[in-house]
Amino acid sequence: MDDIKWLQGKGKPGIKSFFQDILTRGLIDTVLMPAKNKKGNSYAWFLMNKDGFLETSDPIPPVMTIQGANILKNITKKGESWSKTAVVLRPCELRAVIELTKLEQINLENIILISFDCPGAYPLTQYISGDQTSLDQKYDSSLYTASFETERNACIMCDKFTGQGADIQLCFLGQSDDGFLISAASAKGKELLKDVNGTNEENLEIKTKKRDELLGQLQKEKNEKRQVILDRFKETIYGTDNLLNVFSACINCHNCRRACPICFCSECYFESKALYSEADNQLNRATRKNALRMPSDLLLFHLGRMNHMSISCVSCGACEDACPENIPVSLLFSLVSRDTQAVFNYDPGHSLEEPLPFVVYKNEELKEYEAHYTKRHQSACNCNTK
Amino acid sequence: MPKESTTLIYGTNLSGYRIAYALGKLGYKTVLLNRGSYVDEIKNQVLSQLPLDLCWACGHMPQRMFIGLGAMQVFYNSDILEVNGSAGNFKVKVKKRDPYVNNFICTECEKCIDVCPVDVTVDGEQRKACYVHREMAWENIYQIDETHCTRCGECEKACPTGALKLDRPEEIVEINVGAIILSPEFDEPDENDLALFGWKKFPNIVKSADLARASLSTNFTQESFVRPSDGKLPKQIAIVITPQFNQKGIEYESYNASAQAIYRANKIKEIVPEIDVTIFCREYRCFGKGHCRMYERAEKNGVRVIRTQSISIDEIPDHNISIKYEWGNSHKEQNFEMAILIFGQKPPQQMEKLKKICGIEANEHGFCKLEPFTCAKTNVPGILAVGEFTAPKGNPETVWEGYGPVREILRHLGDKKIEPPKLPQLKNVSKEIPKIGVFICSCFGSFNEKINLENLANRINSIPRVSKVEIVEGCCTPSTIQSTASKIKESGVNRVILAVCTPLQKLMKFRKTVTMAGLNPLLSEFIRLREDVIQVHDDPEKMESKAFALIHAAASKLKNAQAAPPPMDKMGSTAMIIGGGITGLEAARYLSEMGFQSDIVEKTDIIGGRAAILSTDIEGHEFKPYLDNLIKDVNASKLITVHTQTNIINVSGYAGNFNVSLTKTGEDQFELKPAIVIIATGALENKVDIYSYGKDARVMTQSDLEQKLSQINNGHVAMIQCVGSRNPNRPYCSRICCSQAVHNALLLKEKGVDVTLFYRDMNLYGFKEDYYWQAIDRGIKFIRFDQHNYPKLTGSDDSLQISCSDYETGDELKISADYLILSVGIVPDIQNNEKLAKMFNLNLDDDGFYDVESCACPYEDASKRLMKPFELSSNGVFPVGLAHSPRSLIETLLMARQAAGKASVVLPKPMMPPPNAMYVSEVDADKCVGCGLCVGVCPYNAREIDPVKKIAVVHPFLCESCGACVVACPSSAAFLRDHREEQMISSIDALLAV
Amino acid sequence: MSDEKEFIPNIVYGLCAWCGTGGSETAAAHHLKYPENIKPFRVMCTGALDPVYILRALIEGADGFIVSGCHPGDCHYDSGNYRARRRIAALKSILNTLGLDSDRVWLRWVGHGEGQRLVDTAFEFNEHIKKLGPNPLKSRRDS
Repeated sequence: MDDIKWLQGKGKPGIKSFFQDILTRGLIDTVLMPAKNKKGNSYAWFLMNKDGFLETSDPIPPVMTIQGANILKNITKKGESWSKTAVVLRPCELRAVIELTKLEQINLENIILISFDCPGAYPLTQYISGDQTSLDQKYDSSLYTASFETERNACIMCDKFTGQGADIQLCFLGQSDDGFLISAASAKGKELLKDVNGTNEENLEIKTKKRDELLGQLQKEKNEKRQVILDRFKETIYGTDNLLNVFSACINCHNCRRACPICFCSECYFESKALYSEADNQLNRATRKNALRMPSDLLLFHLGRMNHMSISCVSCGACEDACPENIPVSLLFSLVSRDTQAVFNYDPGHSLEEPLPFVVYKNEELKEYEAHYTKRHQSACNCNTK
Repeated sequence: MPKESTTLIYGTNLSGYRIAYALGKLGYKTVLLNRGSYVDEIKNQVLSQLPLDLCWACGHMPQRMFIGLGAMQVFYNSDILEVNGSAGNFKVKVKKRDPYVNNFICTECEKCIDVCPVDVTVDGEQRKACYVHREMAWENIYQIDETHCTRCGECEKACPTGALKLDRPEEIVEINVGAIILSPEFDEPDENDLALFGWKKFPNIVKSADLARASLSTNFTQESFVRPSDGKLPKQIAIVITPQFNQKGIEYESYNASAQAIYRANKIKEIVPEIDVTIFCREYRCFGKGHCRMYERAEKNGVRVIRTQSISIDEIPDHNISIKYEWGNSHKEQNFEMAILIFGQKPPQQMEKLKKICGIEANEHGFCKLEPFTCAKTNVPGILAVGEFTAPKGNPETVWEGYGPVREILRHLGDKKIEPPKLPQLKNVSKEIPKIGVFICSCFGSFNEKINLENLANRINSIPRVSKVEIVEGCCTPSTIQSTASKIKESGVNRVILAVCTPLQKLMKFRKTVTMAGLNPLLSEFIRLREDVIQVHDDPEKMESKAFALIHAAASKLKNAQAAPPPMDKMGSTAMIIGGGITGLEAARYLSEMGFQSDIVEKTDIIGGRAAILSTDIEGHEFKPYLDNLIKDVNASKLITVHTQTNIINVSGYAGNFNVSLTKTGEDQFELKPAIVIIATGALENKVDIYSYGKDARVMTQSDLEQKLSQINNGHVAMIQCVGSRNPNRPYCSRICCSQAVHNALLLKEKGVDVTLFYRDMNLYGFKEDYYWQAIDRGIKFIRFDQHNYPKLTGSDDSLQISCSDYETGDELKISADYLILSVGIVPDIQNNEKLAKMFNLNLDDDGFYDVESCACPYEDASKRLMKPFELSSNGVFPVGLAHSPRSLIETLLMARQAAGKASVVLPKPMMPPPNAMYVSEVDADKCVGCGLCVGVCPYNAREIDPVKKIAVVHPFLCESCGACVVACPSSAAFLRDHREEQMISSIDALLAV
Repeated sequence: MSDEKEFIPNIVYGLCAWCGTGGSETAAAHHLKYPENIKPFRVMCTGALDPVYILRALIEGADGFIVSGCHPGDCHYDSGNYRARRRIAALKSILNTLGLDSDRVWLRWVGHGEGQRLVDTAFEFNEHIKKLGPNPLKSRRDS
């Protein structure tokens, strides 16, 4: 097997030493991953070479402060990377990277995408205001057993928690904490894996099988859980009243869209002059209803954003982390995108080959969304007798 | 004597229209003779057959535009009387009688109808003697019913513009023209011609085209398919393709009829799935693009197709229909509740007259005879014939044919005459606060009768930014355009709303009004006060409110309007032709004769391609001398450069300005900068490995056979058609195999060789069908097999044993033959096609040939989109010949000329404003993040991502302002100049603010 | 008393500049009548009808929105209507998921000559919206 190896190393330090190793040996020039801040209560991303590899760096941090795809976008948007760079991403970050690559916002030339079996993450506010030492401990110990519990909605219902689609996958599930599997899925990944000092030991198959078994079961459970959660959630927001109740606390800060990796626009449509209307427009609208909430266009922003990005939504939950009003934005967008994606049978972040649904079309499709006309309508006939 | 520069077009078939457009765009004037009294009275092929759900508007509108620009003149009630002189200087005597209502001046105010005192009832319809003829829905045609009109003159007095005149005498005029194009229309078979099928004899036998005509205003619904006898939905419908069963010489068909039959059947199934549909035909002629797929869909829908040699139709009680048909050696009978006839085309009825007047000749079928290998050339120099006048044709061919003869026509014409009108000087209002003027047209007082314009005007006054509201008489006649323009100017406004009638028809006039007032048309909005309010509603109060809402919305939209000049772009004038086969060479020679430079890029070391091995076709065209001549001309031409052993490695740029990198074996890379590209890369012969092909030398393809023909002088040859094609893997017909097979069979038979031909459908279309009857006469055996039961090769010792079950009789036949010839058909060169398609951003169709959705070349299955008014804009790449679809050599030559003809209309433009001038899409560079979504959705390749700046750029003359980019762009970086996002949003708000 | 007032829906009819508009002009040419509360909103192509416009309309006072343009295969711009169908399918899916009456948005093809079809559609949709009742969204002040 040239696409899978087992790497010895205990716990997180063991995982980190893999990166240290490939940097030192020049298999990669730089690595992009989060590292804990000095204060110890949060994480930031660092682009590091072998001499700058931070002690505090953490490939699998317990929180997602900034969606990794946004970081990678900032690096490669205006041109490819000239040094061989490994980027460590959560599965949801990875999926966003794939989407953004299709949207020409990320250039994957010289980039090696590395992802992993993700246990989930703490809600951002919980982590920052909590006791980080014990939270970290609890988090790190759950890496191999899928036993991490969180209140972060996106993670509770996440059913795509492996690094599938990355060049290199780090696999912890079903392993003991003294090592992990590393597998390559692309030419780029295999090229790197070739020189990784892993053991190609005999029980590799057993280890792989153990993971596959746990994974199969977990994925099934999590998928069912996701459907149940979304269905239940749907009941609570269904209809105009419920939906507007959900948004009643929204302060139109648009942080959700700023945190969202898929919202790649430099200026959001809903912040542009398209909606900057003159006084007479606002007054007219207010006059019609006798009152108008200000700032206006709250629902239009959210529905419009769904219209723009739900096809590519990867359910990472960055929006919800960013919401100062604790609106369950992530649940809402996941719910909507589950259905819009199903319309086109589109799985965002799954493959670079899968074209974006709004770029392609078929001549024969979606007839169920047309209002068919097979029989003359009677009242029109009566009104217009010749 | 200097040559004339006007062209006369006789008849209104679509090729004739095409020619008029092409010449108009090149700056030449045409005179069109319409024998009818209005635009579509004499129906051309498409309007006559109505094969699909048809919208003719896009073809119809340019006519008005060209008339408006002075490029075209139409004589109604006209005919050709005498032709004197010769090519370049014909003197043609024509008679004409102007219509009572000149619909170019008519404002459609309907005052004439209001005052007409004569009430009549015709066919159950109550109307006046002066009325609007509504047979074709796309234009209001004002008519005077001569039999009932008392000539009291009230209508003429009431007409505010002088469009209506009762005194329209017949005139005889002589016109001087350089060339004459004969493009008379399709002739439908009449009652006598269709007597065999009981049409007009039995109520429940209807013509398919009548069915479609009756449904024009609703499209097909259940009601379209009810029985005329009792208005009930039938349980079983038979569809009969009449030309396949009619007596010889009465009607002819190309593939329109077969396609139409399947299309109708599918439509019925889609709308009323419970109806049983059975199609009766002799052959399903399915060689048009996508037609086999249509057939597959029909099969899936449960449509039955019965192939039989003859049928007879009778009525049984309850006005039901009984159809008896030949089935093997017996007869079968089936009953239906209704039958739909799909008719073919009669030999042109104008032939006799035109023969006398013009001196042209007819062929043995009574169609116009053309010189072999030519495009539209008759035996008289300077007189050309096109469209359905020369042969039964498929719709795409008929439509497209108009470009081919451009070269030939120009030879006979003098200097061009028409200059496009210049835009008047426009005011710069960018620094002014928006001041909107609303000018409400009263249509010479007729609107006031329906709606209180004063009240409306008062309400509009309250809309913010509206500084002037005025009721005007009109703005579509020369004097009212003038007066309204001055009123706009005087009022000092810098934005204009005209509340008028139909911009779709009168757009040019309204724009003229605005530009004459010195305003950029981007600063104007036209409200359809009549079409959206007055004519479709009754309640004056509600009408006023709706009119107010529409004007309020327009005012809100205009507030944010910004003026901009029409963008311009440079345009090269050379062509690159990919493929040095006969198609490519033909295109190059055509262009060189038009004075354009071209480069032929050929990957092998010789030009001429596969045509070099062909000798003759079934109709007796000799290819060798033609090809030799062509190669000689190409080599001799200073304007053509041939690059052999050359490959394309990269393409950048866009239509008008391509940048192509090429390599020639053993030499340095070089570059070409063509404005347009013609792809003539051809296709491949299908390779099969069945029937022991390749293992047994006695099993050959038709092409193999052609090389060995001289060696086979006796014995028995079997042929199998459709080998490896028209199956789910390759669901298309290669079009040429049947004629190739019958041609070879006839040649063999002449030498005394027996031939048995196994086939599914005999696709010998048009006049080629003669050869089928000839083959039968000469004793060639034709055995039809079922698509699921191909003949089998059961033994191959001394002779080849072939067994087959006869489709009709079911008999198991065993035949021994000395040779087995397979008709394997044509396959696309997928690898090459994919490569080039990617480079030029083209699509391939489902079969792997070039798709022509957005290309300029023949709209293969889209007789629906006959003519696009602004067709100057194409993406500049023309796939022709076998690269586009399977077709015969003669047909590929025609196609090469048609593409080159179109190219020659586009190429002589060094600078081009975009087709929609002002209204193109643009990019807000500050907002664009280069995601490429707009590039992906643009149907015209008008956008690309700037490789350096990484933002989208627009090539203005490729943009047709469809707005796909605007929706694709999640930001508001992509916008249409006259539909900016802020304009659209505030106009919706205003529309709804009741 | 005002409660008893008949509900007259506020309906926007999104029309492409070619077949859709053509259909409306053909209807007018034939003097076919349809309810006054149906107001045209024109765009170049159904493919240029941004779903945001529809959302805006539904929030700002429309009870329903119909979209009509060239039949499939007949788009003046080749493929705009296919793209429109995708966009509208996605929009209706969003509205459907959130319980915002996706049935208030209709997509029906109308050809240039099909004036009767346009008028029939206007009637049918008007009745359909009357049955659905007023759009709850349009009167919300907190939207």
